[in-house]
Amino acid sequence: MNQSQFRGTFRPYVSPRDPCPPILEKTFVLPPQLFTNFQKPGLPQNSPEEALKQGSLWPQFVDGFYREEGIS
Amino acid sequence: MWVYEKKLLYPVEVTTCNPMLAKYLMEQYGGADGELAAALRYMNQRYTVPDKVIGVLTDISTEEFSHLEMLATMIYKLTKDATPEQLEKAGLGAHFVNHGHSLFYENAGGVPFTATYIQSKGDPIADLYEDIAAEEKARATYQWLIDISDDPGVSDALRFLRERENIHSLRFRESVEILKEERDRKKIF
Amino acid sequence: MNPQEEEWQLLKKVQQADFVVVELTLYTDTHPNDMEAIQQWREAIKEAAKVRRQYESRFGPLSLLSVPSTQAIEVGWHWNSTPWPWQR
Ligand SMILES: [Fe+2]
Repeated sequence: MNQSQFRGTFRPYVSPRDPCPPILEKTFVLPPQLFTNFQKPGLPQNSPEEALKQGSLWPQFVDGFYREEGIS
Repeated sequence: MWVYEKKLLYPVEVTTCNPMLAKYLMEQYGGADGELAAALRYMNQRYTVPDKVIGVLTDISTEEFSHLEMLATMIYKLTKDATPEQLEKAGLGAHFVNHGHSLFYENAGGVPFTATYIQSKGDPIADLYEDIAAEEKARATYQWLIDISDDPGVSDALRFLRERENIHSLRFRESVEILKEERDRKKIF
Repeated sequence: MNPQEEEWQLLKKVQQADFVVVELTLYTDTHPNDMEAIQQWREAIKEAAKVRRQYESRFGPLSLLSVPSTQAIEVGWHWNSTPWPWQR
């Protein structure tokens, strides 16, 4: 899964008077369904075991979110 | 009618006694963008939407009830044998005096559930756009819950639930496309 | 494997098979003309029923749409038996 294709970034204004150490680049989620208004037939599928694990039968719609990404 | 299945949609394994995390999970149990709100919203809208999208609303609503049961399982396990002192330290003192160890439909801040969290406009596009927004808001809530969860089993279940919101959002987006096709079909004849 | 672990693993198989049905049901709701998907959906329901029978014959019905096996009744299964899903 290539997570980065489902993420956007922006650079917020940084003031010298910001009290917390500034995060220069913020990331946010652009989930897979934004890029597919209608699912095409015949997409590659997960096995039943993998489908339950990932939360979808179609890997194309899995964008996996992890705390380690540090999005918030 | 519905038939009860004596199993969860997804095998939930909770590993910590963790009332603080339970308090946070209540956002998805009885909060504005939570599973109860989702289930009730779709189950109520389905009566008056065009026939082509009744199935989606019925089936997604039914699945949301199974998500609600997963949340309940996590909250139940995280608080099951916690002492009143532990609950108080976790910010659940007020919850405890009102509800004991039982669950309640409220959000992470203790605000009770209200039907004003959901809407039904009788306009298919207005309703479906609300549903898409609801799925994206639930997805975002799961992200922040994943960021704050310190129980690996809970994090795993939250990741599953977040992914379901992607699929539900996709199906509602497709429903909008299906309704747009109706106009194009008319033009042909 | 102890019996409790074995039961958990077999239930997981049911959950996996049922989940495929959940996914394909939502998909076919919005893709009623995808005949290949409808065929796969039928097969998925058959498979889920098969896995469910394997589980239920040993551990008792998961819903009241299934007939309790004599084996389950003999070992003292009741609909009201613990554990409920949130207890296990
Ligand atoms: Fe959902």
